[in-house]
Amino acid sequence: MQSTPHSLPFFLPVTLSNDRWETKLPWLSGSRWVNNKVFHARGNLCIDHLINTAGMSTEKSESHNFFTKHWSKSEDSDHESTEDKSRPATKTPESGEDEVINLTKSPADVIRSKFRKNQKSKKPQSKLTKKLINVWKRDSKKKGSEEDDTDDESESEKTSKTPDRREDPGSEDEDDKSSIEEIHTASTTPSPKAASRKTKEISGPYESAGEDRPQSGDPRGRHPSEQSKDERTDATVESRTTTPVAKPREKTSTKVLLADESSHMSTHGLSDPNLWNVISFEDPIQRTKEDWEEWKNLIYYPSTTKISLEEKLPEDISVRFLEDEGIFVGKPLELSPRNRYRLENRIITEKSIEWFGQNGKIVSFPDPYRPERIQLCHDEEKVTQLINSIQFKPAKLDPFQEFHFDPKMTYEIAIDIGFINFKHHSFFSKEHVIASRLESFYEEYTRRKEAKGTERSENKLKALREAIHHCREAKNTVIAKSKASGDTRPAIVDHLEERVRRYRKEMKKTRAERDESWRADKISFSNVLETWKALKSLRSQQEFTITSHKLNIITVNDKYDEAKEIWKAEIAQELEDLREEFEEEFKTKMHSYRVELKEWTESRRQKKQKRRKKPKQGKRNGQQDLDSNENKKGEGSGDDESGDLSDASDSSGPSLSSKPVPPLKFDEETTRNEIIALFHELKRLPGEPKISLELVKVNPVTPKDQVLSMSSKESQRQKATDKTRIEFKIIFNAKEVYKSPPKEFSSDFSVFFGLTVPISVREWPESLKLIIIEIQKNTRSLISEVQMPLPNKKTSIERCNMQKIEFESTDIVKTNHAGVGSGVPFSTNKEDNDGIFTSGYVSARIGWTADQDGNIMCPPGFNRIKEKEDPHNFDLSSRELLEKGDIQKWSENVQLDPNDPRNAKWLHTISKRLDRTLKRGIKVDDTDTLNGREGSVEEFDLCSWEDIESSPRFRLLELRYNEVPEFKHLRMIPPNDRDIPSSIFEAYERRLKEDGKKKPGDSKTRKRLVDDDMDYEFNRLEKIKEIRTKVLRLFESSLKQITFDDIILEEQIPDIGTLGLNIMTLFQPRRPLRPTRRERKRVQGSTLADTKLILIVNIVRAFNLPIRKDTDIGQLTTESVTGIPLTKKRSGSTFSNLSTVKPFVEVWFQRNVCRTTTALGANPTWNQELQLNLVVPEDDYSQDNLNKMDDLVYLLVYDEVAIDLLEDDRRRDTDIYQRLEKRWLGSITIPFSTLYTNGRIEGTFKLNSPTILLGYEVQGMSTQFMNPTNVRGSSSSNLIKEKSNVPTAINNQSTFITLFMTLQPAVQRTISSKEESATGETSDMMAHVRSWKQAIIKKFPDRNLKPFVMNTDGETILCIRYLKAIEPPASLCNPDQDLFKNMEELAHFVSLFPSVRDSTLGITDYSLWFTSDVFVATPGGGTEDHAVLLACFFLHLNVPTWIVQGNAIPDGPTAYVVTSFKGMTERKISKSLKNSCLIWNPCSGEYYLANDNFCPLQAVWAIVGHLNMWANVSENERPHQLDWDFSKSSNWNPLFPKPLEENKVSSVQIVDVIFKPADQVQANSLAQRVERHLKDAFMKWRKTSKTKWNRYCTAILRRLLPRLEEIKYGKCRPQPRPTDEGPAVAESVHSITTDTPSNFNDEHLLELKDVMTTHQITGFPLQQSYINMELVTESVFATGVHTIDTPRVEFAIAAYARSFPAGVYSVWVYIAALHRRK
Amino acid sequence: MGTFLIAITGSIESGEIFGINDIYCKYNFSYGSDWQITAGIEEGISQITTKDATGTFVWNFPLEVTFKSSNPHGWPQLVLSLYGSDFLGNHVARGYGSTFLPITTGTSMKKIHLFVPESSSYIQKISSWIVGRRPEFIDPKLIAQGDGRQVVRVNSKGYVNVKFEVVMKDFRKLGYVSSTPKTIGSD
Repeated sequence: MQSTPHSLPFFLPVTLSNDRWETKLPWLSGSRWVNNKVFHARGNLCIDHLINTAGMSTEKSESHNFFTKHWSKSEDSDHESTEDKSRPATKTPESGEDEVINLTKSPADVIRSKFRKNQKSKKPQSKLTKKLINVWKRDSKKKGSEEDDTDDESESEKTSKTPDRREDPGSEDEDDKSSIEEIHTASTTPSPKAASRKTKEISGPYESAGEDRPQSGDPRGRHPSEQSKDERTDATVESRTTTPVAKPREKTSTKVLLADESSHMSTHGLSDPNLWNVISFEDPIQRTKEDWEEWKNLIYYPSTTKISLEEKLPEDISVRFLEDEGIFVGKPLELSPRNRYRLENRIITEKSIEWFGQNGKIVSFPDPYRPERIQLCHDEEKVTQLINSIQFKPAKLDPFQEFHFDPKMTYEIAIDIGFINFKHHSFFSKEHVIASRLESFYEEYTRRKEAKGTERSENKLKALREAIHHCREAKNTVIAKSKASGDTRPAIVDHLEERVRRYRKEMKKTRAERDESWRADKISFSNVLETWKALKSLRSQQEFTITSHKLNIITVNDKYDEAKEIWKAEIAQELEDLREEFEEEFKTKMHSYRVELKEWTESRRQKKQKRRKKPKQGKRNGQQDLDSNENKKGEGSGDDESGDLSDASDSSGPSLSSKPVPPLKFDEETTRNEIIALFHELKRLPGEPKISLELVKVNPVTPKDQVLSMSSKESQRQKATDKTRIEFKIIFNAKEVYKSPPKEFSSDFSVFFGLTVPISVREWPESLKLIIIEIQKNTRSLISEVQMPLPNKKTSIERCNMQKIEFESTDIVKTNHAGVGSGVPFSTNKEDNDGIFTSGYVSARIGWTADQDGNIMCPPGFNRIKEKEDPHNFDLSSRELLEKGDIQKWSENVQLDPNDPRNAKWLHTISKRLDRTLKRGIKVDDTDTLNGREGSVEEFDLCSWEDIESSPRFRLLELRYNEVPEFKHLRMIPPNDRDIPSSIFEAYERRLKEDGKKKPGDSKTRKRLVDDDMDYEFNRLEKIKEIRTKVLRLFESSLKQITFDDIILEEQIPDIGTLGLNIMTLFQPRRPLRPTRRERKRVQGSTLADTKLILIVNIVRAFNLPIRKDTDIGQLTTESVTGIPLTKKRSGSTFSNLSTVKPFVEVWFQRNVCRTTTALGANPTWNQELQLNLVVPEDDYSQDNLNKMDDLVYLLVYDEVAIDLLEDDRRRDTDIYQRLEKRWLGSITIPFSTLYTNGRIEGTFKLNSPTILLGYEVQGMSTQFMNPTNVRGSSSSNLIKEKSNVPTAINNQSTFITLFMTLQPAVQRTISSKEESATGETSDMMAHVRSWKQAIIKKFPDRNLKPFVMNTDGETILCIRYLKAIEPPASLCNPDQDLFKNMEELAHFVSLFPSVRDSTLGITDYSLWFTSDVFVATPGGGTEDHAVLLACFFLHLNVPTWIVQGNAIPDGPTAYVVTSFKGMTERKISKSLKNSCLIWNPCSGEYYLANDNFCPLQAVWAIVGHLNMWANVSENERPHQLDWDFSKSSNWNPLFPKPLEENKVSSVQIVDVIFKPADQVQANSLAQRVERHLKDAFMKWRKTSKTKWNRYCTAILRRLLPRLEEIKYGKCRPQPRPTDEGPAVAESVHSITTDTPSNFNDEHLLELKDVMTTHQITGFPLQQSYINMELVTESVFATGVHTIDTPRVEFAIAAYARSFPAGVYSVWVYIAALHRRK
Repeated sequence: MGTFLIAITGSIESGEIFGINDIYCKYNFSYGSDWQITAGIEEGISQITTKDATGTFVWNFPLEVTFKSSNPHGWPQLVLSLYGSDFLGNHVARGYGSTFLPITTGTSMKKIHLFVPESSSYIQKISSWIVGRRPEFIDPKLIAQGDGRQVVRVNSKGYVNVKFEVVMKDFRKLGYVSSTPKTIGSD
């Protein structure tokens, strides 16, 4: 088989593709570029294997070698030039011969299999080498023969090869059989052996396996881009190939091994034309033999055999080992021997032996990785400067990086929890408390006893005494000796004296210690005894025992005589001690005294001499006496002093104060007495028996059933205790890892767990916590968190001991049984105790688990980090500690090593701190020194705070975030300040100013307010809302408890009951003619995203509508004179066809209108269903959003009046020419929120109709239903009618409408009663009320009673606290007046306060009650606040009053006020009112009899009274069905069965509510504004036609209004007339005019008579409390007067406002339309 | 005016949810109050897709929307809710997931991991399984915010790959720099 070396180009272009071939040449080993290039570019398996097997994949180390060498070379030239002198300094890159490995291209499978084997055999090259050597041997024999290449050659190849061939003509060879071509150029290596070592041949025998060719080479995968690359590399090959040839042959030892098969290559290459293109220039077939020879010359493989020293060194240089000579030689770089040898071989081959050092090793730098740091700068100062200038930010290392925390390993901490013992618990009874105290005292006692502190100090004293004795003896002997020998005082004496002195000092201290410990012993002893006594007395007192503690007192009698002796001896000893001590002290004192005295006299003398010059003799004698006395007392040594001292007082200068006092002498008697007293106090007297105490737990405990009979409270406590469970959780690194099963208490309040919990540690242990939880019933409460110490590295769980870890809880727990609670003061045995908090200890052990081999499963380095934590991780985080000034203490504890450089900062800081503290004596803030950041923070600020605050954009963003109403819904806040209109804040700032002004007592601003329209201009409603939302926001977090249901829609589980019912229905008989009412399925609002919500209003009928009455003045006068109602007569009169009424109903909702058809008559029936679409803001149908909708549904009843426009009567038969006009008769508004909360609204409602309706007359129900004699036109007629036969006491002036409203589909909010979180009540009160509420709720789930309400502080308190008599403003309460009239007035007053529906603010699940002072100051608030104020006023009037919690229509859940006159002996009440109950609507001021069927209050849930509350537990809810006698327990369930004391639930109300006095001036200006505003608005509404104002009429109306207010307000109201006085017909005209509204009507008509003659008037007054201008306007708009569009119509609008205290106004608006009569 | 625009084109490409055979997804955007959609579709529902051989669902459902804003606060988030039919043929929630739109311009791939809320109790779970109404979020946009999430337990499902191509206008003009450092100062 013809072998052709055609694999070479395939390989070489790739390997040589490095452009910088030339430059790398000297150092580039074959393996290097083979690895880099062949691998990546080709992915050739063959090559891969070859390289691996040839051991050439060690590229890295080799290249390292290369660099090292290179480096060392340059170093050499710099420093060690002396050594290099002998060697050539430079070397041309070409001079060194390159090793080029050539790889045999052979069939892949063969090679692969072969080399796999080789790899397995671990000696990859050995076989190969052998084979190659064989081949080489064979080859060398055939040297010189040539082989011609059969394949044709490309032009380029030819040119490149030509010089080679010329240079090396005979080096080609061909071997047919082996099919391996080897070219061995002549090698003149010193020895053949060495040469064979150096060279290496790789061959793969290649048999014909042409199919594998594409696999191995895959030439088709080549890209054209690579082709160009190959071209380029080809050129480099060319240039390269010339170099070795130019070299002398003997220097190269290169072997080129080529192998491939030409045949298969050619077939493959040629079969595919593309392939051909790709590889055309490198087709192996084009190669000639000479080329191969050439390649072979270039390539060699360095040997890995060791080279002898001689080879490495130049001949004239001998081996030298610098290290042995003592010269420092660094540790050379680690290099595997094989690689080193290869490098050496390479160097040898390249003949650059200058790289070898004198010791025959390669010259290289020592290992650059040094453990020690390198000093950058030698100048010490500079270094410090440098260090100081650099501030290092403290970085916390990830402990995992620093320490090896092997995630594969298992580390395990085990915690063994034995007991949890409670030292105190809220369930402790008093006995337990004392017992535990006894225990702790006993513990102290035993501890003292065991420690034997007293004995120790006694013994020490004894020892010291002896020591002193010895010393003294020694001293004496020494002195005696020295005296005998005549020496001077030897040094030893001083030493001994010093020792004695020290002993004395020690003795003194010890004595004090001993006394102290005696005292402590005594105290602890008596403590135990006393507590035991207390326990005993308690047990006997309560007649049962629940603790088993028993104290045994063991007495050992002493022999009196002996004891007496000892006693005496001890006293004597003590005395002796003291005396000696004293004497020694005395000596020293005396000594110092003398010295002082001497000095003193000296100075005195000097002064005296000075003074003698001055003649001064005063006071001499007296002074002398005194001085001599002193001298006598003294030592008597200063005999000459008396004279000198005589002038002491004269010369008492500042320098010399007084004469030194000589020390006192030892007073034996007193000392003895003192000692005896001390001994008596602290020591056991002789003859007194020795007592030792022993606490045992053997006392029999009274059985539970006996306890039950003794004390119910105690048995309750025991039951509660039995039910209580304790569990704990283990929190490891803030993650819960274990939860224990709940365990119960044992009898001594310890909980035994006995659990070992292993925790597998997967992260660095940082903290270990135990959380102790108490379970009572179903509530879990946390008792305490216990920080557990982490075990150190060596602690295994087996080895560590149980430790007691204390815990304490700070929660206040109150109990309602015999338990003393926690943190609650209690008294035992008449002595009061402060509250004890729950505390106890956990006995536990913590350690690392040991595995089977006993290895502790602790992560390595755990302790290291622990250690480190102390001083160094203690970083900025613990600054608090520093601030506390504990740093010194801390440093003492940590014991910083001053030599450890890591501590330098700390030591520095500490010392600095100390210095500063000492110097200045003030607290020093160390933060700046500890972290350099502090001071420089400012520079990182973007801008100053002022900039941010002044920016309107930021301000807007902030306000929006805070949900300030004006900005809450702002969108797209412009990014630039300039884009924000400056006016945007105006309204807000105005309001802020307003709020500021509202503050009472600011007279200046008040004065200004009179002129300031803004006082009533601002939106009161908004303000109330804001106040309320402000409170809400404060406690938002506690209120906003999102539940699962709020977020997730989940199908309810069908329970068995409903399932059963559903199945039952299948079998039920079908009765289509008897439909049963089925409850509609309720839908959650949020599911309605796509569907529409529809408001359905079914208007059934109305009754008692007023009928038209066009009053001719002539008729009027006759009517009023005769008093006979003319209505009937006139009905059907021809005059303008106005006899009856044609009413229809318009429904307004969200500005959509819908109306019914027109019906006829005063009692029309429509029975019509109207549908209106509900527009939800932002299409958000969530409960939240629907709740907040405060739209109102207006139902307006109009009369449709057809005005005949037909001028010509003749055409009347044929033509109808009419204008239809609607005239407002009355309206009713129903808030959407009521509908939403109730689901549907159904019933008959009173229509809000004006008191006077000009042009209409209310006929009254009497015409249809009642006896006309009973008709009373009074609004309080219901009172009068109570005695009549008519069961329903309807105000016959009122009109009613029956309707039904609902939403389609039925959307209803889910009422979730959330638990009150914070509370202002005590917990037992809370518990009591809750249980009371629960009991009622269970029975009547619909009755939503609210015993707790939220106050302004966000606390929930009992609502009964709000009821307290409040004095109404003086102007409103006239004591002389009829009581009932007063009440009416007050009701009217209260109703004038603006009111806000809480549900529109999202307050649905709870009530927010403000105290009345807040309510008045605002002014305004919710319905409840109105009720509270009204009730408080009534209480002031001594009327029994309650607040009703119930459901009213259309208000929804609300609060009304109930008063009862039952049993009142007050004479001011009219007879008719006695024994009656009145229900007041606080928001409208209206009132109803309790038995009124039309009372808007639909359901009564609970009654809130002063000091008590009653829940309605009767079946009925409607007020008229109820028995209002709260003492009947079958109907009313009181909250407190026993009346409470006044002080137990103190009121939250402030009695002196300040009412701002009424300001009528302001009211007048308000009226003007209202009128002006309404007129403007009116004209605006009538866009199409001109609005004419009748000024005359307006003036009259304006005059009429105040009177209306007076009537309403009750000033002119006559006494309600008893019914038996006679029928109304009999009443005088005058009295009628002042009496009933119908007669007001006439009165008005009289006033308007002038106008009436020319015009036909329809009009009415509207009254409302002033809230804001919009609402006034709205109410006028709703009447639709402006829609009258007759050409000649004129209008009149008059407004009036009356001011009331507290800044509330009653606003009246009179609107009239005037039609000119024909 | 002082607003910047961010135009998103992209597609909900594919997803992997285990144990389910067919699925469709609904997307919408959740964004703050300073944001406004100026063009494009705010919400959409994709076709129902079934698994391919490798278990991947492919929608290739295009997204195209342009936002206008004056404030990066409330950056829009894409909220995906996936529904599929269970063995009874009821469409049940199969996954919810959300991601912020990329803040950088250019192409970004996002892998949105999905979860479904768990039933509140074990009985509920069984019941919902029988009835075929699994718990769903009342408002899927909830998953774009943090409020109230503490009451929900969720079960992790697969993921969805979404590709976004983002173009911004005037973002830098307003002083904001998104994280494409090479273009800093170039405009």
